[in-house]
Amino acid sequence: MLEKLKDKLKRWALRKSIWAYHLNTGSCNGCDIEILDAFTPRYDVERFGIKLVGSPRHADVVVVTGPITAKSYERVRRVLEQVPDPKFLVVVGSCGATGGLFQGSYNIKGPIDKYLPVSAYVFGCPAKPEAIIDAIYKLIKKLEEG
Amino acid sequence: MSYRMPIGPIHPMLKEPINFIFYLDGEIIVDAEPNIGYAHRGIEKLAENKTWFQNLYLLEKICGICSSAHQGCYAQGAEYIFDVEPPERALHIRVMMWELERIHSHLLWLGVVAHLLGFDTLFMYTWRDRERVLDIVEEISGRRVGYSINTVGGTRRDVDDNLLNKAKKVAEFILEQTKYYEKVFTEDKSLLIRTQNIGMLSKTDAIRLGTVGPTVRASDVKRDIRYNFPYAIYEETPFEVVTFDSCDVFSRVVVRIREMYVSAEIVKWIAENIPSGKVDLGISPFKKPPVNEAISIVEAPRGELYYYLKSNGDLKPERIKVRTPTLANIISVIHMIKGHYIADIPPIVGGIDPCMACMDRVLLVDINKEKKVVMDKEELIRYSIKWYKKNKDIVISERW
Amino acid sequence: MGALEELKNKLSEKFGDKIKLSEDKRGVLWIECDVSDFKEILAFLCELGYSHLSTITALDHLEENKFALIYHILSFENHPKIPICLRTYINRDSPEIETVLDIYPHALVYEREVFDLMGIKFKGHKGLKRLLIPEDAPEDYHPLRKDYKIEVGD
Repeated sequence: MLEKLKDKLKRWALRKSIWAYHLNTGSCNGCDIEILDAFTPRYDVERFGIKLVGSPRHADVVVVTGPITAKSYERVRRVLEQVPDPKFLVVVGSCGATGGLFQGSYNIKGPIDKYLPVSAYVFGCPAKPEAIIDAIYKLIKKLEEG
Repeated sequence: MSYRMPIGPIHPMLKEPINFIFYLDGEIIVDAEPNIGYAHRGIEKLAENKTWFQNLYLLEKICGICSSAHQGCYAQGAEYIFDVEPPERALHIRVMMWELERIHSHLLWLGVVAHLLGFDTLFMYTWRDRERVLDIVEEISGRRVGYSINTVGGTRRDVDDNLLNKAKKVAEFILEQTKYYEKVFTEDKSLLIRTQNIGMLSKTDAIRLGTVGPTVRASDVKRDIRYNFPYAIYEETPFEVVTFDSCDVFSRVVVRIREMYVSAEIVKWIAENIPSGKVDLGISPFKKPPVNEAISIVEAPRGELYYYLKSNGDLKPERIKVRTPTLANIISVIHMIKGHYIADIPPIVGGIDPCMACMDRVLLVDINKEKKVVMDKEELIRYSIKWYKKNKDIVISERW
Repeated sequence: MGALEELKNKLSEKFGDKIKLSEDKRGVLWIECDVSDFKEILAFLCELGYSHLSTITALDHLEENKFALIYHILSFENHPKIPICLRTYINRDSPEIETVLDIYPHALVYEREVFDLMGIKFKGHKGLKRLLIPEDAPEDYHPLRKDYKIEVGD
């Protein structure tokens, strides 16, 4: 009974304003500038209550771009451990989801879902801001419905 | 008394994984060391396993911001290898996209610098204006980022008069807006104090350390590939080299703002003077090039981009070597940062317009005390704004 | 092509047989020389005005058992519009070559990159260590060599 209540509380708290932390694991910056673009006056996700935070400890959703390269793997793990639960992982861009163009390269440790559970994928190389907003919106809806 | 202060590798300012370790003595930085490799995706090796035409799409993903510079430089080099000349109209379109990319890149950078100094309103303004440039680019090529307009032998798409008129209007809009940005950056006292006399790089040091791009032009050195080694149609366009002589971060801001004027003028000129004709030679993707080797140098928004290509007569290249401008500038950052406060790190490193995806991170190390302090991005920016408020009584006013 | 001829004459006068010169259609001068002379030639060119080293390329000639190293230099002030590429060969079994840090201080990162990806050691380079690949990679891991194959789907 208490568990269900806690769960409901968590989900209610997340619905209204999602704080996102942006993490780059070695991408070309294409998706990163499109994510930042979502916060600029043309697309403006802040009207949905989504805010970009500077520290992983304040985040609800972690937005990850890039294929994980050999050197960035350890650091990514450490950062993601710092994010408090409940946390959701959104992978933006084709290289995070499948390796994209860089499949087969010697320095790529592989798509992110080999190591961590992913809640949403946004495909595209780079993904458009509208697609990113759509993914976060769908995530919020999923949270509302349980 | 010194601290060891690793910052990063998830560095806030640059939105890219970087590793900074600063060697501090009190609050002054005494030494630094690069530690890169976080965005190394093994592209040179991948390029040896894909065909000449497939590589067009691989190499443009080296960097999302200067993607057209990479792809255009590769296409130019491949045309040297195949020993073909693209049609004039194609060269005009290629140069127009290069210059539009330079405008968008400099606006992006201006916004990032404003954000680093605590001036978020200006960040929003510049990125809003940048959307107009992205709109015209999307209409011409079909995508906002990563336009893929080039191919070996010309460009993939043509433009019509309607698009050229729109491009001209965007160029005129940029000329207007740039006057406003120049006014803000050269007149606002708080911005001036945080950028003037910070990160000095003398003329002789700039040449000795192999600096490229707007960073070296901001030290009063007249080096620009479009001027010294002209390629495509730059000799016919109204192109001028922009230099400035105060050798500090302020100088780099001024150079980039003035380069936007030059780029907008070139776009206008092309919209009026583009010749008619084909845009693509129609080389088959299955054609094998002769045994040959070539170099291709272009001026990317960040500086000199150098490609070396080698063919052994096969469908796949033997070797492709890419040297991006940020790698060349990283040595001068190490030199520039010594003697400064921690609070000055964001504008100095941001001043070279680092594209870490092209190059791959920096690590700064500190000496003495071995006390570890880790700061993440927003913390560093907030720290530097607070430091300047406390010690120099500077507050960025929001009256603009 | 007056400037190119002048440059070729100056080089032939000073170095005679030690170098092989050729030029391509775009006005780039390609010089080939022996590994024992390359530093002298670079120092001479640096004095002529070629003060900018753009990069160092390493090529793996697996069948001939040697590495080729190409030094790409540019001059912005004198002899405009003539990029130079200087090529020299070293043995593949024990690849070593002199550093050019004393002529071009900015060769720091380029030599580290070549060492990292191709495994060529630069004598006299203080602090020669990997640049891009993680430090804990095995010693003989030099992925850009031709005998290191990767699988890329078509």
